[in-house]
Amino acid sequence: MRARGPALWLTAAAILAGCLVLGVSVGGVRLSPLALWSGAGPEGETARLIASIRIPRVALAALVGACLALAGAALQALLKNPLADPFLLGTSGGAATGAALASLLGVSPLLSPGAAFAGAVVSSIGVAALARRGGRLDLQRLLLGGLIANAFFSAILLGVFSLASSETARTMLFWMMGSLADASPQKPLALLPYAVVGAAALLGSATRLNLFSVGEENAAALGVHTERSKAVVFLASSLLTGAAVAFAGVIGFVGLLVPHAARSVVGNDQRTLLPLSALSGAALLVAADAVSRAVAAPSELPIGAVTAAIGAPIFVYLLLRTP
Amino acid sequence: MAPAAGAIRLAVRPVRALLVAAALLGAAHCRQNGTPPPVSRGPARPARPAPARRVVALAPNLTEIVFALGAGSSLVGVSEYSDFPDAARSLPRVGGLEVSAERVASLTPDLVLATAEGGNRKGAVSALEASGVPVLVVPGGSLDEVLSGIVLVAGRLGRDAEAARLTGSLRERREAVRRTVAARPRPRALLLVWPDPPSAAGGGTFLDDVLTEAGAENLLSGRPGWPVISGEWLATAPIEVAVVPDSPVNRPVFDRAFASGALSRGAIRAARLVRVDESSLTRPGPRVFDALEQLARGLSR
Repeated sequence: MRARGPALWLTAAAILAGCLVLGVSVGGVRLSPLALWSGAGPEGETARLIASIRIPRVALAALVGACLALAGAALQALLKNPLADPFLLGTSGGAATGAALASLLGVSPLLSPGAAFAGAVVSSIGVAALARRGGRLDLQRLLLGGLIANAFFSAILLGVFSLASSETARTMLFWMMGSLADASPQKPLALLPYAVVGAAALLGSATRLNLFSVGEENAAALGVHTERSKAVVFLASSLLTGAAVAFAGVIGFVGLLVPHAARSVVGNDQRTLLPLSALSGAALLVAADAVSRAVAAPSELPIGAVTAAIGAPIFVYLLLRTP
Repeated sequence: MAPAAGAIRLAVRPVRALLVAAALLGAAHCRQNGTPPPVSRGPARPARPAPARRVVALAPNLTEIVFALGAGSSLVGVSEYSDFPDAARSLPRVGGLEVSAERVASLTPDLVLATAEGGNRKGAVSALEASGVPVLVVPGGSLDEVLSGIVLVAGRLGRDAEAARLTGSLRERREAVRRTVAARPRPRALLLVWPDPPSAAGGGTFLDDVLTEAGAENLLSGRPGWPVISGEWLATAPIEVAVVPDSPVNRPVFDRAFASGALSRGAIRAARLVRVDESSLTRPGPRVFDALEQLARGLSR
C-alpha cells in the first residue's frame, strides 16, 4: 500500500514549508526569528537587510532543487535505470562547459545561463546521436554516451581552468562546486520561466513515462510515439539541468537521490512521483543551503559539498536496503 | 646522481635540457621521502659561489627584486606575469601558474628563483632541482620575509651592498608608516582579494601583515588563509573600510560587485572604499612598501 491522496501532498507541502521557514531563519548572521519575520524591534533594520539577502537565495535554492530533482526523476523513468541522472548523462557537464567557455571568452556573465543551456542541449543531442541506432534510442548506448560526454567535458573544463587567469579560475572553481551565494532578487525570477517550461513538458509526459515502464514495444502498441516522447523528456530535462547549472553551478546528488527517496514513498507512478520529486528536491536544497550558510559562518561551504555529504550516506543506505 | 649532474654542467651546457627531460621522468624516484629541501644551494658547491649570471625568476615579485638590486641584466627568463619594470616585459617567458621546466632548462640558468607559496610550481621546481639546476626558494609571507628574501637573493647575485641599502631604506619607510599610524585609531577593515565569491585576506597571510602594518584592524585576522565570506556577514559586520586591489582587470569586476552583486548591500556597500594598486600590493617584492604607504594614506582619510 503506497501513500496517496491529499494526506501525501499536505505532508510534502508541510515539509517544504518547514524547510523554507528554516532556510530564512538560519544563516551566517544570527537574529531572533521574531525580528527577522516582523522587521521590528532594535534589530529591525538589520533584519530587513538580512531578509533581502536570504529570501531570494532561499527561493533560488528551492527552484534549483526542484529543477534538478524533476530532471533526475524523468531521466530515471525514461531510462528505466535508477542510477540515471543529469550528471551521469553528461548534461550538467555540457552545461558547465558552456558557461565556463563563455566566461573564458569574456562573454558577459548575464549570458552565462544561455551558454549553459546551449552546452546542455549540445551534450544531450550529442549523447542522443551516439545512442541512436536504426532510428531508435538505445538505452545502453545512451548511458555509455553520457560517460563519454562526461570524460570529454571534464577534459575541456580542466583546459579552461589552466588557461584562465587565477582570479577567473577561482570564480569558476567555486561555481563548479555549486554556489547560491550570489542570489540577487532577479535570479529566481530569471530561472522561473525555464523551470515552468521544463516542468510542464515533463509533467505532461508522466502518463507516457508510465507506459514506458511496461516496455517500449508495448508502449508503442498502446499508441505512444516513443521516439518523440523520448526526445521531449530528454530535451526538457536538459533545459531544467542547464538552467539549474547556469544559476547555481554544479550541484550533485539532488537529481539522483530525491527521486529515489520519493519512489520509496509513493511507488513508480510518474504522475505522483514527478511532482513529489520536485517538491522534495526544493525542500532538500533549501535545507542543504541553510546548512552551508550556518556551519562555517562567516564563511560558506560550497553547497555541492553539502549535498554530497548528506546525499552519499543516504544513497548507500537506500542501496543496501534495496533487495 | 647529483654530483654527476654537477660535473656535466661544467662541461656541456646544452646537455642539461636532456637531463631535465630525464629528470622529469625520474624525479619521483630521485626525491627522498619526506624531506624536500626548502632551499637548495646546489650540489657540492663552495659556501660562497660566484655571482649568478643567468637567472630565471619564476614569479613577478622575484623579477622585481632582481631589478631592484640592479641585476636586471642577469635575467634570462621570467614568469608570464612579470610586467614590472618595463625592461622585464621583453624577457623570455617560462610560463605563468604552470612553469615549463623544459623552457627553464633550455635557458641554461645558473640560478632559478622560486616562491615558497604557489603549489603549481612545485612540480617544475622539483624537476629542476633533481636535474641539478640550482633553485633558490625565496620566502615572501610577510614584510619581514620580503626584506630577508631580498638579502637572500642578493647573496646569490653578489649584490650584498645594494641589498643593505635597499632593505635599509625600505625598513625606514616602514618605520615612518608605523610612527604615523601609532597615534591614530585603527579602522576595522577588510581586504577583499576577489568579489566572486567574496574572498578576503585572513590572519597569517602576507596581506594581513600589510593591512595591519598600514594601521588597520583586520576583521578577519581570526580566520586563517583566504576565506570565502558570506553575503550576510558582509552586509552586517562592522566594516569601516573595504580595501580592494586595483588593476584594469580588477576594477570592472569589483565595480559590478559593488553596484549589483555580492558587495552591493549593507555594511560593505557603506564602508569607505580604499583602492590600492594591485601589482604593488599583492606581490611580495620591494614595491609592496609603496602599497603600504598608499594604504596607510588611504586609511587615514
